[in-house]
Amino acid sequence: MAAEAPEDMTREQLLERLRTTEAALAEARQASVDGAFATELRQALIRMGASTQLAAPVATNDLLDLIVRTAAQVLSAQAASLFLIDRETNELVFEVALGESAAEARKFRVPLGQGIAGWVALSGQPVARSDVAQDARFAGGIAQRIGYVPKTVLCLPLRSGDDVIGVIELFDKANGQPFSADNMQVLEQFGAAAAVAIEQARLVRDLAQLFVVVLRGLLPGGSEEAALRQALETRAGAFTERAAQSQQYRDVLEITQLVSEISRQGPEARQHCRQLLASVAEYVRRVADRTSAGGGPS
Amino acid sequence: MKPAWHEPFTPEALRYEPNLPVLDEITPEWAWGGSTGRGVRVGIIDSGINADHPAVGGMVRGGVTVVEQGGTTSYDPSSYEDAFGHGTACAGIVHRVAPEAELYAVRVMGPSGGGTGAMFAAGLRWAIENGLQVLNLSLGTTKRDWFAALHDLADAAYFRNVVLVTAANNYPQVSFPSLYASVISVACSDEQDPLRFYYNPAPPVEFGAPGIEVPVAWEGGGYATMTGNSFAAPHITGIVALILAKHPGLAPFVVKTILRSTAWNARHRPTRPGSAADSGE
Repeated sequence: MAAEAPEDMTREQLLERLRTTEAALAEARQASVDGAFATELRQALIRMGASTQLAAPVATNDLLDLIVRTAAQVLSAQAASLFLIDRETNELVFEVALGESAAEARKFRVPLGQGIAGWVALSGQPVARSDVAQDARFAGGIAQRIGYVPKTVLCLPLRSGDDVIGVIELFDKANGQPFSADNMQVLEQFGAAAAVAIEQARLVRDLAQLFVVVLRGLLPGGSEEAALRQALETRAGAFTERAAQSQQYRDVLEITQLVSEISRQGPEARQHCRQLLASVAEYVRRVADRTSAGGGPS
Repeated sequence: MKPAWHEPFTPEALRYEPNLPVLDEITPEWAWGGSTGRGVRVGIIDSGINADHPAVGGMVRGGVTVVEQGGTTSYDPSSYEDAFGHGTACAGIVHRVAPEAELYAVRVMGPSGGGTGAMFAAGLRWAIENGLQVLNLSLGTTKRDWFAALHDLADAAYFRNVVLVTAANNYPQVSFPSLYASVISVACSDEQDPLRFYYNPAPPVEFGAPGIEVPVAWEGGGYATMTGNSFAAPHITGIVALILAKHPGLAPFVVKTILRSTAWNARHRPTRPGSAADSGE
């Protein structure tokens, strides 16, 4: 690679030139590696930023829809809804609405403290009510405007730690009976699952926002980012559909829910949980190592 | 699925524990017969009380709103109007059971959300230090951070003869102060008679009182038929007010003994194993 040495160069000059050339070569090689790394890093960040931001809310919404739909089925409710609290406006916002008037219901927001959902959101206490249709104020509110006045309601808070983040509400049991304390207990389970899904989505959304901020710092021009984002949007959509339906996603959710429940029991329980999970992870790693070494689990 | 706190009080699960023979002389008639709760000061630690609601019968005698600002709490005695109705619903039940008990509102929740642990603790402290005799706590906190502070307050109440009546969370997760031994912890039972309650020999929830399909005060001076543990505790609060009006100065452990002795399932036997109690006192 080095040029042929001119006749009049001394041995020292020749050696010096060789060293310079080698240094330049090494520098060029490193620059190339750095450049490839920078590109990969940049693309990875964009991918993570775009896919999490796009995928999470959609996947969560599907999951919440699934949770509310299953709860309504299990408890034979004619309609159901899930609200989240908008802390900016102190209102409840429909996240999921199922039933004949669902589309109409979605258009409304409920001020905190109003109606059963507002009462539950503020008090944090679950309630069932069995004489709703007799209440002129209830009928005169959202219920009448959307053309659906329920007779019975079961409503529970969704909690993130000690904070209420929303409510889940079922309307009208199929047999016309009031919702029971047992129904309340069953709905608690669905509410806990929904709260975990919402917590996770918020965490992912926060992370996505962080990545976007990082990206803005890394990328001087917007064109490359926009192009990559557009390309990734399509893939993220497909990923979202698969994620919501996959058994793996639900398994992971269940594990997360269990860990979350244990974590709330205090430091001792957390310590036990951590040790147990670490042991399982260690075992799984060993099995994986043996498998990859060709032995397979015995 | 874990059993909910109300399950020991279902007809199938209800246990009939014999009382100490000597305590059999403590009858409901002896304990609160003829009492209206007259003169007993009952605190409702909640969202305030709407004093004009017919459910409280004009018995609201005072109160305070706990205000939190910049990490410190203070008391505003000028207003304790209910922020959204929960406190009025609880106060109305107490009034139905003990119509001449004096009601005091200790507002620890605002119109934009549940109060903080600090507001709750401050409200409890105010109630203990201001001469109230029975406190209804249809709410609590699940934050372990508040375990010690609330435990101290529960002890302070106990040693000052202030009876704390707490609602258990419907779902069996830790909740303070409802799981302390010094308080009277209540879950709901499927019972309509406001004076019929049950004893559970398997704590932490020791008593079951009506909380299913209960008429409670609702918006605009009206009523609603509701189910929830929030509504069970005020029944026991009302009964404690009846007892204290007839037997002033009782310590909380004596009150609990009286409740245990007058519980329906301590005084009745099932007509056949596994069935509900027979009727008739």
